[in-house]
Amino acid sequence: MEVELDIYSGRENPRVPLPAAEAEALASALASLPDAAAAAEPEALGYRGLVIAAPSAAIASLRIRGGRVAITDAAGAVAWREDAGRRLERRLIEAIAPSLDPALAAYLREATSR
Amino acid sequence: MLRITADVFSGRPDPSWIIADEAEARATLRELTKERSLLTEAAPATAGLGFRGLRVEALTDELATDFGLDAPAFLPGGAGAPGRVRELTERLIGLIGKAEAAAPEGEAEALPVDTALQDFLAAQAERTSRVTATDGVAAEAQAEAGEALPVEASCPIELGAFNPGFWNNDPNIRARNNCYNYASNKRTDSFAQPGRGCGNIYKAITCAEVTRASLCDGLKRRFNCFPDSEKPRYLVALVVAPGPGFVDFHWYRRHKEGFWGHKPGGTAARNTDNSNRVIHNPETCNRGPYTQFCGYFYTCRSQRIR
Repeated sequence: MEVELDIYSGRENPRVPLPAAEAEALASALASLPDAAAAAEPEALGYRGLVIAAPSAAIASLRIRGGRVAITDAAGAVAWREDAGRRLERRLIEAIAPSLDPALAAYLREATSR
Repeated sequence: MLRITADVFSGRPDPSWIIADEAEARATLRELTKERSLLTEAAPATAGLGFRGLRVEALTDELATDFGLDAPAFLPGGAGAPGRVRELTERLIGLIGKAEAAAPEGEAEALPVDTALQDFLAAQAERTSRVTATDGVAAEAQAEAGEALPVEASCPIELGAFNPGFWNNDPNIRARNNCYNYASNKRTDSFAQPGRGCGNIYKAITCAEVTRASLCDGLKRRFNCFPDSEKPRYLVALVVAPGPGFVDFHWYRRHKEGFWGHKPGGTAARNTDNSNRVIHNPETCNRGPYTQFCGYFYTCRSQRIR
């Protein structure tokens, strides 16, 4: 399972493998997230969230940002879940931080602290 | 396989090109057949001289069956064609770069299918979607000040129509083409990087170095004019996010509607900034972390981009 940091415009987005233990924790966390209203589109330039493609057979992609998780199924339908306190998002950032430039990791921590 | 023929000439045979790549042919037909209402059996009787459209023929029974193309389909083009038709026309003409020439019926040899043909057809098809304008200091200052000022510098440029669908509708095109592709109006499906085309990619993300790499690809700084042979010459702007932490570059392109468009990475092309306002000035719009404005440039027909 790979996490894409959806952040850049000119450069390619970083893609980082997610450790198996974190992948399992993610699956477990998703199952318990409460429903939520749809979130607004992220700003075009800057950090736009974490994207995970095909985390399971039933899910085409996940987008995690700003306290919301967008779960897109194979048919393209989107279901929204609440990520209270951006806990899931911050946990994933910590999981991929060792593979990122330290300054970028620090930037992401600051960006997701609010 | 797919054959595309441009209905453009009157006396000489029309040029044809063949898309042999199955995946490319299927992707193209998927796009075309989503818009069946735009397709006809032939050029309208009133089409006249010049570019009249593109004829698309499936050359395998599988493609014909899978896409309902037992008979050739015609995508009418030329003056007054609606935006979606222009997008599809642009896509089909753009495939010349990946095609092989096809000899017209009864002809022993095929007409060359090359960049010159691509440029010719693009110019024919885009006659109403692109305009040539003057990019001049005095012109813009005059508009702001409301008075005549002496022209200090000016260059002819092309302003293309805002066609976000071309970049957004196909998820593969959207994902594989970035701000540099969009600003240059050149789809490469390679997430193009300044300098990679000329073999000397940027070595750091600073205004100076990304500028160096872009000039190496063939761009010129604003008011260093390109001749007409380098049409289209788009006016573009480069900005940089200097960090710390977030370091990246971004490009904008001026459109004939009067605003600027851009494509943030693999996201959708748009004409709005981070405040969701239409971009009239890339120097003052909300650019998020891209705080450094590096300058304006012109792209050109012969720009190397990869």
